[in-house]
Amino acid sequence: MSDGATTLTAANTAVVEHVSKFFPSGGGQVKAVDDISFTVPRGKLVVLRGPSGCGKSTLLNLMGALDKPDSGTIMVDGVDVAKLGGASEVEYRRRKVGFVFQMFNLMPQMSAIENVTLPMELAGGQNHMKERAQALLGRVGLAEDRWIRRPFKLSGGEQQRVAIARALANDCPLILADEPTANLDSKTGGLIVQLLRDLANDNRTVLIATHDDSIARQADVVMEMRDGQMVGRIGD
Amino acid sequence: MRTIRRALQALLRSPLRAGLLVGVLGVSIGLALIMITVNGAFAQRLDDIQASVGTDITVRPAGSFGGFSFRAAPNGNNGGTVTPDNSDQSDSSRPTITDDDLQQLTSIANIASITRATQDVYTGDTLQAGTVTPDTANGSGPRFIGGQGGSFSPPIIVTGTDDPANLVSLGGSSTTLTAGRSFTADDAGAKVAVIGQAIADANNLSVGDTFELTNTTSDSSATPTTTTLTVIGIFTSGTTFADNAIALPIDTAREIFNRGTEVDSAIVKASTVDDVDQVAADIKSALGADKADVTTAESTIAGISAPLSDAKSSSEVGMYAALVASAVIILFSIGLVARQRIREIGILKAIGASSWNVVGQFSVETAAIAVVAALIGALATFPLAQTVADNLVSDPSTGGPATNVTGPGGGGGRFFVAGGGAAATRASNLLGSVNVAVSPEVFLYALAIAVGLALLATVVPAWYVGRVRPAEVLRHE
Repeated sequence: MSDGATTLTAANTAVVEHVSKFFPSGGGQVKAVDDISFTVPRGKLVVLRGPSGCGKSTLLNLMGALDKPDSGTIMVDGVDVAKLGGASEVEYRRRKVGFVFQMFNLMPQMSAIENVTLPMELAGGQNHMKERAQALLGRVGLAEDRWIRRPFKLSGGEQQRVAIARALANDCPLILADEPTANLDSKTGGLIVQLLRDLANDNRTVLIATHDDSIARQADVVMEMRDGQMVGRIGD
Repeated sequence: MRTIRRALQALLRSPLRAGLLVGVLGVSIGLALIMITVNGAFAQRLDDIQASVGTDITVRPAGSFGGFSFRAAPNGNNGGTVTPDNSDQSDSSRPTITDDDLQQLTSIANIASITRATQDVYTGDTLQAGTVTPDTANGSGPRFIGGQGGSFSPPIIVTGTDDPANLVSLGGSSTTLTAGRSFTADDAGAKVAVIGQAIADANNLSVGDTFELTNTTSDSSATPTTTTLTVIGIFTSGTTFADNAIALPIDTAREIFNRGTEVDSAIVKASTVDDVDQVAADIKSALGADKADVTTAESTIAGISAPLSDAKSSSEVGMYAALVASAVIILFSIGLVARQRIREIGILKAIGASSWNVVGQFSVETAAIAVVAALIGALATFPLAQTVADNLVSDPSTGGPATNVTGPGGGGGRFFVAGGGAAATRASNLLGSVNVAVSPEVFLYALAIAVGLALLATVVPAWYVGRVRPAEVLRHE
């Protein structure tokens, strides 16, 4: 490691080094992520804070292998994400990261419990998937009578609980949450943040991208982003 | 199993979209299945026609006119009877075929049988011809041109044949015996006759009666001789014109008409349909083109079955068009659906679905749509195939070229023998009706089409899903 880069140790779930991502725009390039390096300590609630368009979501997408960096390395739980492709990339998404989206992104034709079961099915799970899904829905606090409802019959907060349960389905070490409270009222948003806080308390690593200061107040680590660059870090 | 469940859930999520897709595809597949079924029925009917007459090769003296190569006796006098004159040539210069010529054919391989026939016009006054009243209403009967109308008596055609068991040789495929019997092998050379109903009616003849035919020759100075014949059978072919005919054992006919060993036509049957062309070529080679015209049944039925062949071609075009339409519909639809569901594809990939997981789901969805559509199409085939077949085949009795036979005068001028009538009727009889029997096999075709379309449609999501990067899809939240 060089330039003051951090090292992947048992204490860190993720290590990001000199990662850049550019997007073509009007004949030129926009630096969405510009030479960023940081670590995500294991079992912590880490908040990536910054205004809209500063590159938070892009950074989460890179760490979740939803996109590829133009340069740099991203190590998550021993996997070099930047070098993934094909089957290994799919396997990484199944086993290493769970996503929570701003718009929930549940499958509308499936019930709550089927949405939670889906990642397990895709990962080739065979036994006790339904029981595990029920346990996860119970853990995120979704009332039992909601389990067989489809998303359009659930409130926003309930849908986000289902999304969190889905992210936990394959017991991934890293949960990536992109603006998880942006579509929720403050009270419901607070409950969702508390839920994510509880996950971190249970030694699960949670990385949240947000511009909401109230979430930052619950975090173990807060990293500040501006214009694609990391401009500050609080906590460790 | 889970993929199937997810696919069906996705389909049922938008029942209207799925229903419309199934409907459009069902119409298209149904049309293809109908065309496949109809095409099969046409092909079967054509095979049947070919099988029934397909091995026949007709040998006639060169330049003779179709089935009217009979000779007009010079001393005939049948009052107002119009006598066809089939040739400008004199009898002496016209090519003839004899038994010796046909004997040469016995060395040709793959010949099953050879039957001979003579045709002569009887113009003596010992028999009255039946009277034909032209049916001007539907144009199916003989009709006059040149200003004369009303009834007339056509010539009496005397056919000599050594194929007595085959009534078709007497006057057409619809000829049937109404009384008595036809010839047997024991009747060769006997003074017996099978007469047409019109002759029987005009002369009050019935089975067992006798009648006389006067020998007619080109030599007007020769003394005519009279032959007494016993009626052993009476036939009808449904028209007075065709029933003005007499059939005799060929040796008897040749004796009466002084034909020696001449033959007006010979039907050579090849062993198999596949041998027809070669046997015909061998016959032409053996007899020479200047001596004999050789026509195969294949060329004959080609004209007769033209409407059926055209319909078969049309059904083939329709079948391919419907299949292409089905392919285009499903490719376009699945492509559109894939584009509409790009976000869903991105989410699935983000939570761990491989491209093949997604493609598998789309494929099952497509297969389900295609199978349901194919089932609907197959069910629609049962009531509609016959109707489509009936509409594709034009009725041969309503059209067809007229056969123009020129008479020698006597006030009559010209008349049409067949017109749109007799020949078309023969064609119609030969064609028959095309019975489209839809078998359960249609479901196998339907399944094959459905599977083919589903496999084809997999190409679109496979190509599309592989290109989707989840981040690009989800970026615009």
